[in-house]
Amino acid sequence: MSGGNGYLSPSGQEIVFVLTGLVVLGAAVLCVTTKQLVHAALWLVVALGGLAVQYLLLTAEFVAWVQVLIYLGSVVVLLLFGLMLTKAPIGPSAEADSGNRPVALVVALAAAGTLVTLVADAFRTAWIDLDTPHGESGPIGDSLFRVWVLPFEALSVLLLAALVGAIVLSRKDTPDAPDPAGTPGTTGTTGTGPAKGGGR
Amino acid sequence: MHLVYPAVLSALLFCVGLYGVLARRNAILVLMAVELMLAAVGLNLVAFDVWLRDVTHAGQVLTLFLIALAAAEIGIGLAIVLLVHRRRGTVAVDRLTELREKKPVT
Amino acid sequence: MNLVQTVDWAVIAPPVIAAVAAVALLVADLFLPAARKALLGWGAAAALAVALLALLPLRDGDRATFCLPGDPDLCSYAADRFAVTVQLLVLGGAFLAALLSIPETEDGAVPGGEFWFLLLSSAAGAALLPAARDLATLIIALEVTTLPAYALVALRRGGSAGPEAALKFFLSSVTATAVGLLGVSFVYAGAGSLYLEGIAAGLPTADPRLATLVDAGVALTLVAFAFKAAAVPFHFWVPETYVGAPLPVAAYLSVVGKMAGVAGLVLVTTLAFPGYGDLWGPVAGVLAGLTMTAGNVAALRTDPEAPHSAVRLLAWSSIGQAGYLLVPIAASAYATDTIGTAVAYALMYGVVNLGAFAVAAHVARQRSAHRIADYRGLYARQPAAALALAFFLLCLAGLPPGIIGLFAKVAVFETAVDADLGVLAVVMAVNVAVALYYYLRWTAYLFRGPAATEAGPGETAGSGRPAAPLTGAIVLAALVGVVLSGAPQIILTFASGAML
Repeated sequence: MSGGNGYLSPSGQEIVFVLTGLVVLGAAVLCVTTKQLVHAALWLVVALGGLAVQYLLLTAEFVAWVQVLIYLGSVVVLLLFGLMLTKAPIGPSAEADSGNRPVALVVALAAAGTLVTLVADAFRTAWIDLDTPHGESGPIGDSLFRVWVLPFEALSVLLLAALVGAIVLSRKDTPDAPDPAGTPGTTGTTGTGPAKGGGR
Repeated sequence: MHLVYPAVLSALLFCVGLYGVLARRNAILVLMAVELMLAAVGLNLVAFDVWLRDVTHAGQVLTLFLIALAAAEIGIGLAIVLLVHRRRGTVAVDRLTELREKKPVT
Repeated sequence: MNLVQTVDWAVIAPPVIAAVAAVALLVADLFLPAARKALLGWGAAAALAVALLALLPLRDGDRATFCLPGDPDLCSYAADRFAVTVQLLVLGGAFLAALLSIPETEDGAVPGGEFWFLLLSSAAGAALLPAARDLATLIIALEVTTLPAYALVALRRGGSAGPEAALKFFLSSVTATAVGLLGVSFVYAGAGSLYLEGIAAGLPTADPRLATLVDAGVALTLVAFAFKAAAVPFHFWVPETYVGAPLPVAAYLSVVGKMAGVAGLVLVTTLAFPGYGDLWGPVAGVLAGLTMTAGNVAALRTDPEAPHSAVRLLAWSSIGQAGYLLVPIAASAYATDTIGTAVAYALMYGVVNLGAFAVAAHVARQRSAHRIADYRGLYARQPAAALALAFFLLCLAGLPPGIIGLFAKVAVFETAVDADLGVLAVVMAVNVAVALYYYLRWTAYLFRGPAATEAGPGETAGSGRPAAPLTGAIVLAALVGVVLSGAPQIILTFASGAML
């Protein structure tokens, strides 16, 4: 592992990494603080896209493109659909933040302080060698199918379960479904809650 | 490149996501914050893998699995959120109190 | 150069059978006419039985597969004694939960084919977990166990309790997984490998500057599994989820879900971090003490007249029992070969808890409000069910004639004493005594005369006909419990041998 240039003379890659990192962090902070729900999804796009750039800088090209394809291509699209189908308001929403914000801020700042100190202390003299790329598609595919086959196949069961689960939960209730006995919403509770049994 | 850069970015991103999970009320916004946390872990794993020059590419492969896992969880998570919206009309996590244990009246 | 890893199919048969059966049932659902949908449930139970049988050739516990081509000691899947025993518990628990679910799917309250698919794929993940020997497989197996469970919890037609419970379960679970994965990344940085054995070999020779980072990683990794095992402070999702979910799903989560978390904890602490006992030993001990106390105290305060108090009590009791399960794990930091006791206790708990849920499902079909008060006088109406429930509750409490419960608790207590965890042993003894109150109170309800006022709200007349699968499940659980009580040396065999 070759030593780097030291703190005072960062290499070109480090400069680009830091700049992109600032963009990622800024977008992430905006994502979790903005009151406009759709803007939050779009800031998430910026944050995750910035991360893909970081992966390219780290020479992990396959992961970078998978990140773009799946995180930006499907995860964010699904989130936007979710916002649309739950009738998220355009413009600032009062529903965005709960009352826990001060506590959450304290916890997050404490965690950030701890983690950053921990990490900076541990990696004070650790340099990544970026001269030879270590993450091209060929070698990744090689190790994926020669070493990591079992978790790969288990993941396929996971994806199928997510697919089937999402479909079965999204189906409209059939009009002739029998009234289920024993749900807390339908038997004599003092519960709150509006319409039961299909809600359409 | 010094390893501190990706590691610190990852730590900060994780904590931003943690704030979002704790502070946000809309369930979909909480999901977005969880995605930030998972993405931060992915960055960590890739950076460590490249630093270690792992022959089996364990870190990058685990990141790929993580991305797939995040996609699966978003799929099922949004289905549940939409179901809650259909049945209860709201997706605010602190308004869903139907299952809380009712204190006895005596 | 071989392009793929060699796969020993006989070794990996149990999870594979469950997964293949899951897909087969999903496809069969397309072709079966509506009148014959009931076959799907029996098909699921049969598949799980076949998966259980597939464990028989593996009982020597010395086979592994999916090994690294360059290093045959590092395998992703190892069918050792621990893995095979936990797979027995998990698949058996899923079998009983399947029997409990058959009446639910028959009356149309939950959609059939998808339910069986989700249940079996979750069982496949839970069967994969105890045999996983690298962190990638372990985490993915954990997710394969819980992701279908999110859907199962929400899966009843109509009503809003299920989806609400599923949402809270889901959000807290993915956060715990994210935190656990952060820990995994730190451990990976320190050890340079994701294989559990590789981590155990790599951590002692790690760069000393990374020591604190690795400590943090070890602690954070445990969070993901402690959440699924419902250890304090990650237990808040349990009562609401169990009450909101269909009863068989709650039963399944209470045994199989918990076992997945506990097995993950055992694997990670014993195989990957054996040298860090000073770190996770005390933490596990504190978690064990807090968990059993929180579970028992909350169970004491459950109001018998409140709706669904029976399920809520079972939920809090399962949290308390998880506390007892964590004691041998804490002890394994200071003594050797305590994991066998944890597995033995888990076997007892699994059988007995599922039996209790089976009787609860039986009673819930008649009294939909499902309060503990609804059990009053059960002995007069259905003596067999009442006796079975009394036996299960006494096993959970650790009193004769629940001999197996008593033996298991004593074995766990001994591990704490042997490992010089005096405070934990005292806390456990106090908790066992305290828990007697609410178990005995429920048992007493069974034998009281019926209440003067007639049935509580929501009594459904005429559905007193017991469902055959429920009866089968109760009988099976009771039989296993009685057989184990008659031959408690089985527990001692587990407790004395080395499991990993």
